[in-house]
Amino acid sequence: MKKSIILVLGILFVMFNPIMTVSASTLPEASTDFYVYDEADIIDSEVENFILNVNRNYENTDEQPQIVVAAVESLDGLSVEEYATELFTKWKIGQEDSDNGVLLLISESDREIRIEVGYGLEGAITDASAGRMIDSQMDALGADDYSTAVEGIFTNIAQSVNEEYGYDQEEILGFVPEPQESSSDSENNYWIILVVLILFVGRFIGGNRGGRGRGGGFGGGYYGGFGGGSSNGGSSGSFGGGGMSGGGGSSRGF
Amino acid sequence: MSTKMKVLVGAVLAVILMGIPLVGSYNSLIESESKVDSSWAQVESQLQRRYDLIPNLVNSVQGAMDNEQEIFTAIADARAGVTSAESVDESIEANQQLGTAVRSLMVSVEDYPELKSNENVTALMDELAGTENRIATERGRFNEVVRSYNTKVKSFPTSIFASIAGFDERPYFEANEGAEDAPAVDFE
Repeated sequence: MKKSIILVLGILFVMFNPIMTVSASTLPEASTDFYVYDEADIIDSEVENFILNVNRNYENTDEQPQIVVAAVESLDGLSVEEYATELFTKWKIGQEDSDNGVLLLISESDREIRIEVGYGLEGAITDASAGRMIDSQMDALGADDYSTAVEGIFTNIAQSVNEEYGYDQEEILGFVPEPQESSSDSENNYWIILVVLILFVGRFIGGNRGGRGRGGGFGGGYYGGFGGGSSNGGSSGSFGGGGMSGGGGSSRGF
Repeated sequence: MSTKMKVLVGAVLAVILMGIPLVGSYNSLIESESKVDSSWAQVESQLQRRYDLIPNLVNSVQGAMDNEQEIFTAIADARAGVTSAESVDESIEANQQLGTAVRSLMVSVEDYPELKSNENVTALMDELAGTENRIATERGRFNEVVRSYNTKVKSFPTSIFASIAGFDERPYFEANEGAEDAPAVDFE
């Protein structure tokens, strides 16, 4: 009996995947408004309001996607991928049944940026298109013009989400955006898109989604950002809808 | 009631009372095991995705990288290893090797400026990096679920029942050393 306990503990110690050693309590709680978390204070209030308004428009839709922007001072030693996935799960971005959340994460001191896409939007925002969205703002990021970069990338993300759900761009964004740069026409690109779509669709046909194991470390129960008593002219804070991501998206250093 | 009846009723009650917690244990083990299975299915689906994506990247970069044949051979061998794997253990092992080979390819691509500026290559590298990250994420979640299941199987008194009922400990899906993080796609 004692031996097997030691064995189990030994196995746990050896096998414990570093990703899972991050305890969710070391990550920040979401802000009261939920959709923007600007700990590093690098985003203009104008852009912050834009982000909040777009998301509030989403709250009035049936699908209620959520696009959250988080600007942290440091990743505390984690990789940007790990940090983003953990934060996404902690804040439960997107709705539970459709996992239609997106997280745009910037770390000021690490100079890294990541778009983390929820399971449900992986077809709308592929890893390749997420990479392109970030690349299009590389100049702004290099010049520390975070507000411009965030506004640009957030707009691109919202455009893709709007296309996915058939929302009117102007209604959600408040203006008519320039159509997104699609990658240059070439045979290869159609092939990439086709392969990615087939893989994406194939995943759902495989019937994995229904039985996704959500046990273990991701125990539910916290809704980071729930205002709980804050009063902002009568509206309580927003909070995550219970969505999850699977690690999809793209990162860049800048 | 005769003594015989009393004993009979007592025996039946005893069986029922003992049975209730056993049913609870059994259901809990079943539920835990099915979480393990569905979590593994998620891992496998991402491994499959990587397997399918690799030839596209290889085709896009092979021309420009013709003095790096060892890398492409390693990838081809590793992919063949995955196809021919028969047990879950063999499959895990083969996928570890494929992961190593893919990561070394992705690192080498960074040395070729004409590839780094190629939009197709960037798109494929993003997709592969995203897939590696998904594998790492699903593997982490899988290990958590396995840990929870194994704890149940091993803890007393469920452990006695578990071995009789055929619930065995499940193996973890360990990461390669140094392979815990997905490769960063950094085209500075």
